[in-house]
Amino acid sequence: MQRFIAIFILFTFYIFPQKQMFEKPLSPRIANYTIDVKLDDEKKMIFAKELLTWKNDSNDKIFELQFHLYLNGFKNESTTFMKESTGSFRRSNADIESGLGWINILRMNFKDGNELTDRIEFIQPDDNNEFDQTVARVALSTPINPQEIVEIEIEFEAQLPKVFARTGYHQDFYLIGQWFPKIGVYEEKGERYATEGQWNCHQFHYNGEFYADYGVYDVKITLPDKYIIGATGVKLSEEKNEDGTKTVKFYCEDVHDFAWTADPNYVVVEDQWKHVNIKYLIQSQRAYAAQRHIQAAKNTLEYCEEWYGEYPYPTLTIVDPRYGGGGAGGMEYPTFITAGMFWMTPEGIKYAESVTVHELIHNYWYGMVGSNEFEEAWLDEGFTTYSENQVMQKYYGGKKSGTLIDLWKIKVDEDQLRKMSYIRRNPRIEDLFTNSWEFYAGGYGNLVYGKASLVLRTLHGFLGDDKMKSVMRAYFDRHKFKHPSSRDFINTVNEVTGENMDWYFDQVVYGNGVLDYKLYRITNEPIEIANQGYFDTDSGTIYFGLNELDDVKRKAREDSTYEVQYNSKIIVTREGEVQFPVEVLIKFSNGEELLENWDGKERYKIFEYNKPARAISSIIDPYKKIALDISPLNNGLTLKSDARATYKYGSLWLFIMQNVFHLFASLI
Amino acid sequence: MISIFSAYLIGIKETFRIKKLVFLLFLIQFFFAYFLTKPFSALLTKTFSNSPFAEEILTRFNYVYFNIMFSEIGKGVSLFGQLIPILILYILITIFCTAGVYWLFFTKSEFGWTDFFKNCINYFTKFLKLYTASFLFYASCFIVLLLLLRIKSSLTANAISEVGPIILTLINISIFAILISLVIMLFDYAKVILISENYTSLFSAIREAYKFFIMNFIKTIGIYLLYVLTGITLFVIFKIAAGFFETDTLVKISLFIILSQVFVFIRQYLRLALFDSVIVYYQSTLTAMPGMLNKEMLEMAVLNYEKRAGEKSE
Repeated sequence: MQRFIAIFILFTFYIFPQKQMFEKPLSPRIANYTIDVKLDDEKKMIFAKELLTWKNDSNDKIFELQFHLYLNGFKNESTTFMKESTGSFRRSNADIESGLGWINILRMNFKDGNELTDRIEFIQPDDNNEFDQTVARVALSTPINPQEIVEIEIEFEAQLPKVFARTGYHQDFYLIGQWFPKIGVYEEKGERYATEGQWNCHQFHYNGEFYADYGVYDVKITLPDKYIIGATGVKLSEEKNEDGTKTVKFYCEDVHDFAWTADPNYVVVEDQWKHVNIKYLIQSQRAYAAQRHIQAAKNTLEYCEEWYGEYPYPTLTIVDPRYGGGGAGGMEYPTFITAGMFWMTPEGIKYAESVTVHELIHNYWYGMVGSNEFEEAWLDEGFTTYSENQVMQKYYGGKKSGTLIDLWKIKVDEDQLRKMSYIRRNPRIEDLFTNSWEFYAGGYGNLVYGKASLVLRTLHGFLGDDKMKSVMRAYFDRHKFKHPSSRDFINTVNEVTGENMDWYFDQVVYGNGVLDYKLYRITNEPIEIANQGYFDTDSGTIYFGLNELDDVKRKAREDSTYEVQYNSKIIVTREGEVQFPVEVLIKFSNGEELLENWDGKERYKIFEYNKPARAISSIIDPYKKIALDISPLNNGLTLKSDARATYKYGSLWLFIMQNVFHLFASLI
Repeated sequence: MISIFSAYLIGIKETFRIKKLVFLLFLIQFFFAYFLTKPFSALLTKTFSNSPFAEEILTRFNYVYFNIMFSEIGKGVSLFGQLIPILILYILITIFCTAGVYWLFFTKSEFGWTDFFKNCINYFTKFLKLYTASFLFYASCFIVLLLLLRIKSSLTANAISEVGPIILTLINISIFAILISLVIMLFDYAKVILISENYTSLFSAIREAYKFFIMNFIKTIGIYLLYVLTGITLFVIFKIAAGFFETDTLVKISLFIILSQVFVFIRQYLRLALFDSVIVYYQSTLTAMPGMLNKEMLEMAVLNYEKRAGEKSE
């Protein structure tokens, strides 16, 4: 019955497009945009008129407005983004000579006519780089009162860059993101970390992404008729114009961004998951692989609904960037994600799936839970990477299968790559609670993605499935369509679990130490039934020499009930700075197994036993709950040597070397 | 003239005659490869012999474990540091032995270690020079490849799809592989001519080989195709056999070792059989008299060879 109602609503929505997605607003709807934009595909420019309806949701009087003008990040080589990136982003390079971009506000005024254009000035709150024009401040002659709603008309034009960092064009392919003057977030005192009311409006940096308020987007796009277009939200209408263009209207409620794409080469593949219409805009030569992405999207929606909460939007658009436009791939926007793959990529290389899963999950962490990607990037990238790993393991993994590569007996999981990127690139360089652009000596990628996901996986291992699910659902439910901070997540953990987990987060989020426990040594000493020397007996003090001892031992061995006793010591050390409770599994020669617990606080712990059996092996964290351990190989020891691994991989290496020699010999 | 199938079959049969030599060459390759495997095996032993995680990696490769093994436990251990000098030494020994093998096949002499090594020494310098000269040809193939890749780049600069670039790259690589194969075939015949005609001029031998190659193009390609097909069949059989079991117990690991070494040995055998096939075919074309038996042609070839060798030394 519920499914019937959902389908009926969706059917109605599409047959009778209407400007209401949800019965009640899901978010405060602070920043609402109505934009009319025209694409000039010869000049690669856009011309637009924007009406921003903004609410001062604070208790402060607002004396200025601040806007993001992200496209100015591509204006010249001296901008903050270009200096930090040196013109390169994720293996794509900027075309400095003919592919730069910018945005220019032609006119800004309140709807009542009050001019603001001359009051626009560029500011650089992060680095004082005078050439950076990605933040504009508009001083107001009259303050905006608390709870007052203002309407601001903005006319602007923008030169699109050749795409290398998320947004721009490549030939006839367009991916337009961060393209309009976007108002910053005003945080009043006490909101997140604000000690006084302030604008949170950072410059456009190489590391880090975006932060904005929620609202309604009503966007009309005019472009040449040949283009197939997709965007955030639902398509309300499409009208052909007499001049060979068409005007397409898109609408979305309760989102904080709007992106769109156009390419005449797209093939549109549609599918449905419950109430969500999935639309995949895929390059024609890759259309055969559309189902890989769509299935990945369905798997993700199913998992996220179970573990976090409902995906409320009726639409999801997945975009496959054109060959050469890969700089636009792997990016998230509300209800709109970019994936990508290559023609003839084998199914055993699951990049298509993993990128779809990752970007779609961003619609939860960042999309609906609107954390600040500039200041606390781990809250979206770390959460998304952790969630992605969960989805990939559930639907594409398992013991026999690799979640990223599963080809020709080579199996590699993506979380293994993430873990290695964290371990190998100086894991102590910074703590997670660092502004994105301040990872000066590296660390953004390996910490914000790698370490953060390991932090959550370790928390998951510690809490168990049920509690972790409760924590994540609570966090999502309490903070969706809001701007939570790290503290908000930690408070949710503490409250839901009923435990104070600050000790954990203080070390791994606010500290830069590493977690490393080591199985240092196993010793077994037979306990002598007697020793040499003088001993007091009933008969007086008697000297036991070697002969006497042999006599005692012989008599003991003749006793069928006699068992040799061993004093076994298992020494576990803490090599890293992070203190974390660990489990230690100890196996004895008589088959007995003991699972011990250690709070992990001291530098070492000795487990000591007197038993008629020797300790033969021990392993720290036998159930692999502690993903953060940077050196898992030192977590175990066995007394008995096992050469099978050496033979297996040694013989494989030998075979490979023989083939190398044969190859060179063939040239002779 | 003999058919390529007959030449190939004769090659396989004749190689059996020198099975001890095949085994020696296999052992040489084995020990060189084993030498390079030692540091890796030592690292594996140090990392996993007393580790409970050894059980895990028997069923599945673990990227994290191996990375840590190489980067932490294996710090300072060079797995590839000795590869180049070992490879050079191996190539020199292979050239040395190949010279003797060619002489053995060409003269159809009874196999004896003394004569074999004597002729290895006799022809080593010439074969080494020939091998060095072949670098010019291989270098030319690389230049052709680079040119083709450049052409591909300019043709596909504005491609809207990666299909064209991928297909063109595959074509370029195929052309490159064919060119390399042709160079290998050419120099195989140059070696035969060097032995048969006892040429002192390297480039004369190459020129004669080129002439022969062009005149008998289809058939010379045919012999190599037979070799490649046999090799592919052998590889497929090996993959199927090895795919039947997981190498997680000592017995299964040992079985894999046996299978892989049998594969390597047979491949070595086939390589020598190819040498003889090439020689047999060449010798069959020396006299263009149809209907003659192979044996007679061979005897004539040998007589001719000895006669020319004697005249030149005078």
